[in-house]
Amino acid sequence: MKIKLNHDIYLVASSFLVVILTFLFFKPVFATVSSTSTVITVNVNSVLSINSSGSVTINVTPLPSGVQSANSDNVSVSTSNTNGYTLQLSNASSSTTSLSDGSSHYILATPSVYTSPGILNANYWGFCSTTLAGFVCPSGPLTNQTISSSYNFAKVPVLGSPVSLKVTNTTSANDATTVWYAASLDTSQPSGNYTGVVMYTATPN
Amino acid sequence: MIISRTFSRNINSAILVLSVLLSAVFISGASATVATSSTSTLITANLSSVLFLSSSNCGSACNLNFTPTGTGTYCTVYDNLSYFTNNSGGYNLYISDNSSSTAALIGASTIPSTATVSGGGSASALSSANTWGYSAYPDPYSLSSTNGVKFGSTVNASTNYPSGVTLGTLSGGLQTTATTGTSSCGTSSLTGSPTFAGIPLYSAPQVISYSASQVATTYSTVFYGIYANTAKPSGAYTTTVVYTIVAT
Repeated sequence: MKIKLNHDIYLVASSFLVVILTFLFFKPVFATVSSTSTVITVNVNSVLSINSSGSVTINVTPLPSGVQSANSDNVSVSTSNTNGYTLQLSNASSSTTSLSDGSSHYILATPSVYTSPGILNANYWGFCSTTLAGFVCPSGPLTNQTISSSYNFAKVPVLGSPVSLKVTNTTSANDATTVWYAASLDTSQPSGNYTGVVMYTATPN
Repeated sequence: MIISRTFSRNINSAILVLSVLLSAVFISGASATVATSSTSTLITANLSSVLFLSSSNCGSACNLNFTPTGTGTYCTVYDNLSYFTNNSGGYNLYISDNSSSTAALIGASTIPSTATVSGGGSASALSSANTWGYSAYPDPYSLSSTNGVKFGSTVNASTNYPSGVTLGTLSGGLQTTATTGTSSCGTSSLTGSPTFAGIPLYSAPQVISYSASQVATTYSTVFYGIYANTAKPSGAYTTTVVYTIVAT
């Protein structure tokens, strides 16, 4: 009898436990308002585009004392990125900063660096951008002018070590940046067409 | 029942929180940006060829002033040239008379130029009276075996050039010790057996200096010699010599 009573107790207890577990794991249906929601997400990716002139030509007819010519490149950046963009400049080459005529003749990059631009002496080339501190650029193209100490130029760094020309913090449409390139040459530099490629890189902030 | 309702609310709350979290994830995804964008520009420096040439010693005229003897008198005078070019292909420096018909000195009579020498040929002494010619230093033969005139067997200024001129030099070989534009004359044969070539006509200029690459300021000295006797009437005999530098 005692044993049966215990059995009944266990039966009742087990049934009660089943009920409890049923409530725990199965959502009961009550006659109340039920709702659900869906998140509508529109992913608007920011866009960024960059353009440059593609070609800058500097014509020089040298004198023994040296002359300086300069011309400019216009870089425009558009972005919908609300944090703006960073514009960087470097050579396309990671190994040289010189202009070459393809025949073992070179116009070397000025030894001045962008943190300390300086006069562009004879037989060097360099860049100038007023977006950077310390630069004083020509107001217009120069052709065979006396080498001027009024302007400051620096070498275009190699690929991988770019100089940041501009940092913005908002969207922009065709935001223009002017970059000047100049060469100072005397008659000791062999004649010819000396070329090099510079690269502009715009990165969303 | 109360317990189960509580669970229901908690589960609904959990779903709501999960939705909010998912929304946050999606909202965060909305600020994704495109990759870095680049462009490039070709920088070209067009360096033109330039040439420069000047004759400095004689100025406007090289004068051979002398009094002849019956057996003949030798006189020399020289002109200094300086020139440079940045032309990567170098240059040719030519000499010629300004006439395409004669290179004679013309005055009361004519004093013809000694025999011209073809490219690479050897010049010779002024052996015939009443002739004149030119010599050059450095010897262009050593610079261009095909175009230049060989003025001596070796490039040795002390033996190749006229007497009366001490071959002191400035940088580049400029002859310095003779008085500017004046002649040095003597009655004997010129010391060192200098050799001369005839002045070519304007239509056939002759190379006196040459390079296959650009040169900084370079110097050449051109000597003019005459061997004349009293058979020629006195007076001024003149012609004009042209120096031309051409990019190659």
